[in-house]
Amino acid sequence: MKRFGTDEVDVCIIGSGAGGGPLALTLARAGCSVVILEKGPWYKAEDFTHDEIAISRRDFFVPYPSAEPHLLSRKQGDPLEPSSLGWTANCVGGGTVHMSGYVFRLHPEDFALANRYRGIPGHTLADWPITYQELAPYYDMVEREVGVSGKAGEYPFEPPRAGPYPFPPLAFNPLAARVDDACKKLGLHPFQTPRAIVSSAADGRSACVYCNYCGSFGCEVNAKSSTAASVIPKAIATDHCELRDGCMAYEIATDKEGRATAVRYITKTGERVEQKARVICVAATAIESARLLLASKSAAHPDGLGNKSGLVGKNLSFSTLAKVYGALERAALPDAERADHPIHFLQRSLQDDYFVKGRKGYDKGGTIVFQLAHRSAVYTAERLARRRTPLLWGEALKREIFRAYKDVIELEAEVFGEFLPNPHTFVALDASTKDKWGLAVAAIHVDNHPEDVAVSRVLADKARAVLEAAGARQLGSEAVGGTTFVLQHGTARFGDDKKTSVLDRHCKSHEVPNLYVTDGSFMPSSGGVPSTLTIMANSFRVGAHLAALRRNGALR
Amino acid sequence: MKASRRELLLGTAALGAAAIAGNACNEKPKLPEDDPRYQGLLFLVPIEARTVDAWIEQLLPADHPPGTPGARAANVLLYIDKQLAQKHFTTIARGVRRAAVILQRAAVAQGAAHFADLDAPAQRVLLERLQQNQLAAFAEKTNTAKTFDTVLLLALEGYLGDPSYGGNKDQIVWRALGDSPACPKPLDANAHRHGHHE
Ligand SMILES: Cc1cc2nc3c(=O)[nH]c(=O)nc-3n(C[C@H](O)[C@H](O)[C@H](O)COP(=O)(O)OP(=O)(O)OC[C@H]3O[C@@H](n4cnc5c(N)ncnc54)[C@H](O)[C@@H]3O)c2cc1C
Repeated sequence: MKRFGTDEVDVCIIGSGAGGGPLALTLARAGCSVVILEKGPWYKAEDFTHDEIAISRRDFFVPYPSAEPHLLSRKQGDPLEPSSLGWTANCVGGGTVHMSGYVFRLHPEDFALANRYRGIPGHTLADWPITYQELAPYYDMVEREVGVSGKAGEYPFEPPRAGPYPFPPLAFNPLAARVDDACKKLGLHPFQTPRAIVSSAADGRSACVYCNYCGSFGCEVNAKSSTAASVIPKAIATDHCELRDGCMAYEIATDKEGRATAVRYITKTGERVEQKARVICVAATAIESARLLLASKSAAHPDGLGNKSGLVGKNLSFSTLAKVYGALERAALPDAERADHPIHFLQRSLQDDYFVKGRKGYDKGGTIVFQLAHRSAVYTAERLARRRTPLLWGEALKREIFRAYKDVIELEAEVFGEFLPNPHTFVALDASTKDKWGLAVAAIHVDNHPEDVAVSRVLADKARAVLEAAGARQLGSEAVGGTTFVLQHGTARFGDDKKTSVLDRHCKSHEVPNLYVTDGSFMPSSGGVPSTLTIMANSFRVGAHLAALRRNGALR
Repeated sequence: MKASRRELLLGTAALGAAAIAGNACNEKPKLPEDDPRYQGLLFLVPIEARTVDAWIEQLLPADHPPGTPGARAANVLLYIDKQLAQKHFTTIARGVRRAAVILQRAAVAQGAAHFADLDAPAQRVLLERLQQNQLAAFAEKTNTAKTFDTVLLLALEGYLGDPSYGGNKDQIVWRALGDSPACPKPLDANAHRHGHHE
């Protein structure tokens, strides 16, 4: 890997996940000198075992709140409490390393929701300054460069696309046919869930081996399309990109005119270092990027970097979450479906209610993803215990655990909906609490808009009807109207008006001419899908803009 | 020449059981806590270990469903003790210690010598009260509900997690469930592609 030292490079990117990786590749290919600073360690595929305790129940991916707390208030008026929620990851590749990899495009209507819901009070949605058509080519680029498997043209509500997916759809469990039949009975249009997992070998990566350990685990064969498995190695191979892991950026330095000059960071060994760069791109997640900008105060930027509008950290949105489940009794299934099939993917989704038919007023729905319950044993048992308040234990819990493995196959639906941004959901810097480096932490204030919670219920009921029609019994739900904290947006929203947005249409700060933000912060609305594909596509889009500037000698 | 510790130990053994038995009237009575399972743990002292052992066996009792292992058979106590000894579990460990004392006090108040000497239903009643924060007999605020939940989650880890941490001994629980997190051999994906549609 090329080493640049701390003299001025073309671009310094903070964060190596969905928002940072595609940008790094585009810029490195354009010949820019690129330094990526990533606070977490650089894991290799062989570090990703199926040891559930180490990988998904300790601080392998997400820091302990004792070391790097967030403060979280889950409802307006509730006190702030230390939490690890709000972290997506802490490693090279960010949250893309241990995501499940359900990746969907936004729909064209998502770009103009403020207009559509003018009449609904209490939200702070804004229209996007770009259209679906402007983003679409970059969706294609993610699907190709990062690697997405799927099948185009299966359902009438599919967002427009130029052609087939670059990787054929993944294989699935025979029980998917039940979900198909159930949906069809109900007049719905299921489609195969697009996944950021390669179904055939590419770029030195193996095809998926269907080990069934995707969400909350890293991929041991690099089939999952994390940025660490896909774009980052390609960026490094250009010899124009250096990645420094274990480097925590804590301040962006500026000159008298208010231009960004350098990133200050703390290394693994505790050294404080300053990396100079012509252009600085922040991609540390919507929460951590806001924290960094708010912490970067100077005479020119007394309220935080690029924050004259006061909007940095405001308009935080997540994704609403509902989870519905039901059990198929093995004994009642035909032989072909009863046995444990080696493939655990169900690979079915629904977007019939991306806009809820027949709902008056607020009708923004979302996406239902069907899956077989994850087989991680501790996770399974914990979930069963948590289905009762207080937690279930003793004979009853043990019977449930053994039943889950021996007697039933559990079908699940996860529902992702628009999270309406509102005045009570935001990130602020809280100097009363410090992390292990002594830095002020992010305080996350959350409040749900009643309309998005109501729609989450409608979608959960729809999912429940499908599970029931598929033969599942003992239906239940978790977290209806809940929040998916790993999907984060809005804290530096883009727009054409500098009074109502932090970034311009190229994700450049309205106030700091060489500062860009490329994680989910730019998104003025969350979308009714998990957002990683959109963050990656936008990262490629901003990269293309910067690469064009470089070609014209205007990168500064 | 000074005798090495090993020689001393061997020497004692060589005296034989009879010699020790002959001295019995000078020995303290053997306590249940002297059970070798409760000796030499990293965090829990024997009397606490005995409480926690009984506690987690109630969380994950053997033979429900019939023939399935309980927490004890899976060595969950060893797992929990190792976890509690870790630095980042310091606060939790303190809570567990406090909860063990609270359970022990409640048992003594019922005339038992030790929590573990109560019969299973009586243990469960106390644990239910612990889970509902109704057992703290002390003036200081102790959130035993939170501790109870944490012990349950740790017990599940020790029961169902990787055996390398000391629990799930010999994969006893994975074998009983008929499932383990081993990665299957790379598949001939084409044989399964599109499930049973093809
Ligand atoms: C278990 C799990 C499952 C998920 N499943 C899905 C899914 O199925 N579909 C989907 O679309 N999304 C999913 N996600 C969400 C997905 O991970 C995020 O949307 C995506 O990673 C966000 O991109 P990002 O660039 O904002 O943040 P990340 O990809 O997390 O990258 C941010 C990086 O910045 C680093 N960083 C932060 N602060 C600093 C600093 N000060 N200095 C240096 N580095 C810093 C972090 O360590 C991190 O590596 C999942 C997430 C998790 C955790």
